[in-house]
Amino acid sequence: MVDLLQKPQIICHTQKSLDYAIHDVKWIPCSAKFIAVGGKSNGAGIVEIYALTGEGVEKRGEFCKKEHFKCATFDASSLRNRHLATGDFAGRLQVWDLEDNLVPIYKTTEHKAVINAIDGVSGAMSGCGAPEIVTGSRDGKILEVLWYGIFVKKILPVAKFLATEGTTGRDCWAVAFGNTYNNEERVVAAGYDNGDIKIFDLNTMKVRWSKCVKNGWGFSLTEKNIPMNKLVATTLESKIHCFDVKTYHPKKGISMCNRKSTQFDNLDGKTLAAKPRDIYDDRRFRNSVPLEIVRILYTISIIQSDGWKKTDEIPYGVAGELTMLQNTVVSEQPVTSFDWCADKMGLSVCSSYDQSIRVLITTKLKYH
Amino acid sequence: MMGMAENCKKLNSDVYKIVAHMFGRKDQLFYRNTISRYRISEIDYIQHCKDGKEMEKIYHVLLSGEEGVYPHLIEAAEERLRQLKPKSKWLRKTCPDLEGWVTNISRHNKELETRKNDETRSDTAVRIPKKLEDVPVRNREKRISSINYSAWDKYDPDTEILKMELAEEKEKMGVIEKQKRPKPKKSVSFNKYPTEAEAVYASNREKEKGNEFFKAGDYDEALQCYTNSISSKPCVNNLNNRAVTYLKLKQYELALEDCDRVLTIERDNVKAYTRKGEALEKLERYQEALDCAEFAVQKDPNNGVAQELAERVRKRCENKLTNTRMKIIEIE
Repeated sequence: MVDLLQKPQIICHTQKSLDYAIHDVKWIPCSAKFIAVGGKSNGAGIVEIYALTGEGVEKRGEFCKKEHFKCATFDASSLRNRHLATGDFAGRLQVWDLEDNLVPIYKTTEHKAVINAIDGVSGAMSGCGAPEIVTGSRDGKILEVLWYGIFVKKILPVAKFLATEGTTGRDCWAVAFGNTYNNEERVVAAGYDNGDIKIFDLNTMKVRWSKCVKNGWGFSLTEKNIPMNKLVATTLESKIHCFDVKTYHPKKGISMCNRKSTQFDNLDGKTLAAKPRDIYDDRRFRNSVPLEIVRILYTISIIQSDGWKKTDEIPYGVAGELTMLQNTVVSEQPVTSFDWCADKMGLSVCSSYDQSIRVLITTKLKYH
Repeated sequence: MMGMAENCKKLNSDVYKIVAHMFGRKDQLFYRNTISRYRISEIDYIQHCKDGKEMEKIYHVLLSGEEGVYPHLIEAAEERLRQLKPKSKWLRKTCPDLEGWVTNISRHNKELETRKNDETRSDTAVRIPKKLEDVPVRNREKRISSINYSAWDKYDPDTEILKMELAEEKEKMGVIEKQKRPKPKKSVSFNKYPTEAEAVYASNREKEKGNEFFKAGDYDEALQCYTNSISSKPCVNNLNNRAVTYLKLKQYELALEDCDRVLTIERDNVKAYTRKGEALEKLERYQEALDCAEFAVQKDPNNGVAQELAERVRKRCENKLTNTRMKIIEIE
């Protein structure tokens, strides 16, 4: 049972209103700054850099480009060159140097439709393989790009996952890297709008596992740099599914537990951000009037750590259970994106449809 | 109406008593019942409360949501608290060490910015996709057609069942074998990071991973992570954590080494002393264990773990003491 006096509190530290629609916010690793990407009403895409100071947040820089930006990540770049990889509404994947942002360091236009999701891996950590970026877009393609930096201007994507010839691909809503604990292994998990979740093994270039949850929205894998452990997916109708992808039983597949958020009906679940041990933040919004956003923290308790239910003597994973730690209403419009700060436990930034960014602090996380 | 007024007065005294015991948590249940019974008058009580401290306690309990979430009560309590005690620490909503963290991390950030270099080279070659061994397509035995009477004459159900069972067994064994095969461990050669900031970053990430493995009970993986973290940048926390992992894995000598390392960096680290005490106790060096435990207790009198350790070790020490008899001499 959660010790009630140690329940985490979610507090809004500062708030800032902006004049454009924000699609994604991300912390710049190893600094007290974050970026907000989005699109202005005149059609230009904009990236702004903010820094956390004593009183609040102050703007440090910005740059505008032709198309609205949809998503961004720093995860593929090293700490010394913190390059930002962005996907925009025209399907271009570009990598920018924040200080010298006239021309992107790298650009590719393989996607023909808006890039919905982007993820990077192994930029700052060594021993996890070469740095890579994966993008998923509305045209159903998933692209994986090797990120070599300035020297290689024209580099073809390393891997592509397409729908079979002749069929139209479903929109890909979310991608995530995982299982990158050494130089060889790597998987990409992808979620499609018809509820398919597929895990592609990049070592063997095959689909490792696939499942259909009824409708899909977003997910993430816990902790990219360890052997694949858990995959948490959220769907419309406010269901959260948690799969234990560590152990794969040949007949039963992967064990799963799920939870419906019972407090709010007609809720749409949105993507999660994973931070210390299995604590997920889940952004939701209510369909009924008035619209509100609620932020819910979930923790996954692992029932048995190497939990294997021995059925037929082949280990079968135990997914654990999801318990809600806390929920708060932070703003009156739905929350569009959220990011935990890797360097400070409990610090996070989120953006919402009311064109404002909020820096939130979640206390007492270390007890969980 | 009279009943309500009387209830109000009763509420004041009851709630006051309970609030006073709040942190002792003795009267939780009582409080819950009281609150649900007198909920209507609770807001009035808050708004007429005169004592800042009591207000703080009420606010704290309301925030923790023990007896349910009452957002309107929380707002009213916060308002009142602000009026009564504007300097209250419960109103100070910021993370207490946020400013400290910001300055610290900005320092790292500056370092990274100055050491920015123009080339990004990857240390590891591109992963070559493994050619998956073609899973041999099992020869589907030709089904015996229903008119093939001679084949049916030779058909023996028992042998078929045996064959099926054998095939299943083989499959099972294959799966178990595959899973028993140890996962290739991350082979990390930690070259010295060019910047301090990177080393600290990597060290922290590994330490966090180690913490999570430790909490989940996976001590081997935790050990691996802590070792990685320490090779990036050793610090008091890493070494302490690795020491306790060694204790769990029953490798007491190594735990001892780590504790000693912590103590060379930071001489008064209570955790290190307690862990050292435990390691020594398991190694049966009771006298030294007692010294460590007593030092820990002295430094941090509230530390239950250290006190229990001291008790246990003292008993062991006393067992070893020879019986000394005190001579009683009467002085005239």
